[in-house]
Amino acid sequence: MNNAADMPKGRKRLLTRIAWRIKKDAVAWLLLLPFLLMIFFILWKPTVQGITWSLHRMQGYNVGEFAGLENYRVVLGDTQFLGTLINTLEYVFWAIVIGFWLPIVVAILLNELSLGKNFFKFTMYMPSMIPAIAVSMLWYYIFFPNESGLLNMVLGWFGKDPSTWLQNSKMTIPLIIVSNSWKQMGATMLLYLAALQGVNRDLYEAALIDGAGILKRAWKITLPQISGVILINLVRQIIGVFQIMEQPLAMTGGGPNNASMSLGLLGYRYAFQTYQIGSALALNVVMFLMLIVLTAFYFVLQRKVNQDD
Amino acid sequence: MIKETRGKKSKAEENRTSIILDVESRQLKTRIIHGVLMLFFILFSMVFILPILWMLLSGFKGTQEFLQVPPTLLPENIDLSKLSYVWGRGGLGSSYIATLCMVAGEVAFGLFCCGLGGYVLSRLKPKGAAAVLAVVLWSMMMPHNLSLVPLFISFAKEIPLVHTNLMDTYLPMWMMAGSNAFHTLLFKSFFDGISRSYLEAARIDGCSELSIFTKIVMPLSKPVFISVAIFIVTNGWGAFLWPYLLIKEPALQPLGVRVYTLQRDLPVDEYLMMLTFVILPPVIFFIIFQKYIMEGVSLGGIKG
Repeated sequence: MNNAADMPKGRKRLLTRIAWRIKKDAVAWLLLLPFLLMIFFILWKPTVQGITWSLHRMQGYNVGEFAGLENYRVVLGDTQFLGTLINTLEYVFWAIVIGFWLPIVVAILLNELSLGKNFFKFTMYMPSMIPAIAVSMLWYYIFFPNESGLLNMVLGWFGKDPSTWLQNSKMTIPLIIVSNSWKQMGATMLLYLAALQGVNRDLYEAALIDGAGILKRAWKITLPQISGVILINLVRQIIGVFQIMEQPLAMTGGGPNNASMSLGLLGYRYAFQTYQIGSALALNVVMFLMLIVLTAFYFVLQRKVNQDD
Repeated sequence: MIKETRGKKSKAEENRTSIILDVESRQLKTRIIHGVLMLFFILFSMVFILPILWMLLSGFKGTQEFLQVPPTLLPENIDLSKLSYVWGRGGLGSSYIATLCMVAGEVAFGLFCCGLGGYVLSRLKPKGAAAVLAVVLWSMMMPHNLSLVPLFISFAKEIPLVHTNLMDTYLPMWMMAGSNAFHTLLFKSFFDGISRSYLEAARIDGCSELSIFTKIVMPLSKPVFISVAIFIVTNGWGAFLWPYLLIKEPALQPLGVRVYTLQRDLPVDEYLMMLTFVILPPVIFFIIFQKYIMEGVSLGGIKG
């Protein structure tokens, strides 16, 4: 008896529940909307446009008729392309030689200190706070080719002749990487320092009992324990340096004689200096594809390392 | 973080993660190693301080003095009036205001869009939230180099109805701050840790979702808001590429652009003094917020 009377009541409650749920979802979507609009306009729309427009003939900033792979033929056939690609790989190479291992070693050493740790952390992180463009310009003057540049000044104290630094086409890429590493060192080191806090000290004690010296412990325990973070950082640094653009733009403009030209800077030059928009787009798609592979690898790595923890 | 919880213990115990163990700490070998390390770090930190110090001092030299052979280490005389001279000549007053406007807008957009986004994805979870989360993750993965040219074109083109474009405005930079997927995820993971019962209680009291966010979630989440705001300020202060491409009116150009364009107009010593003006605010900012900033870096590295 009662059941029959309750039915409509229950249904009514269900309906109000659904209505409430819809209203709640609508509000939620409304609150999400600003962020969604931003990533649509800033990220997704231009990326899709970049890919489609690269297949069209571009007249200035206007999209012309479909041109297939014409833009790609122009870019890849350009005599500059191969040299620039090699330069970019050279940037990556020097970033690994100079900027990759140093923060690891410094973090491990700093972790041994019990006194002054925070002070050294502070000084080494300081350059990371300076805007990248200001770092580039500061180092431009440190590498100043006559004796008033800081580096030549220091060399002068030891009786060495001044060098031309950035104007020397053999040295320009490593030197740009030096300035870049100077800025990044502190931040990367902090990441390793955080990872070192997770190493179980019992392992060291066990190793000590087995008679392992300090270096052996660092090599056989510390490094393997933080190897996941090291690998992630390596890929991350490669991705970052592969896109290098502002630094050569500010410090050398790509010179001397295109010796420091990177793919990123070539894309910039096509887009904003020689106004070959189609070429700029095609080049950026080529870079994009290479980066996607690296980034996917990075995320797979990261997931794996986080799972192991 | 681990260290902080044990902060009150003795110094020897405090360093829980060093390779050199406590039992070894009294050995002569260990003392030598510690001495050598100390010396190494004093010299090594010079590499980071010296260039900044050199810039500071060189700014006070005259152009003649800067270029003379052999160069001087310290400036011959320190003329403080040069500070105001360079400030005026570099147009730094308007540039500071421009930078502040740009960065303030970026913080507002960044906290508003990403904060709300993170809140919805963490707490409200409407139908389809899982798909949005995937999109956010993909946004973080996506290389940004390809969007450069199309984005520039859309900013330079006239917008229909309004009949103006976004050149010489800070709106593009603000929007970019609002589109940071990494910040949204930071917010989300922080909000995930807030107890549900707070929110339920407010909902029963009849608070709207927006007022729950502003009155309950935000006060509870100060650390993440501060962290993200600090990220945005440090990145925005010296932003170069986009402001350089979009802002052509000299009076509106922020400091990052000035650093690049003034190099042609100023003599070396004045230029270095101007660089000092640009670098000083973030350095002071760092001294004030160093704990937040350095913790934020490790946070970003592990989660990001």
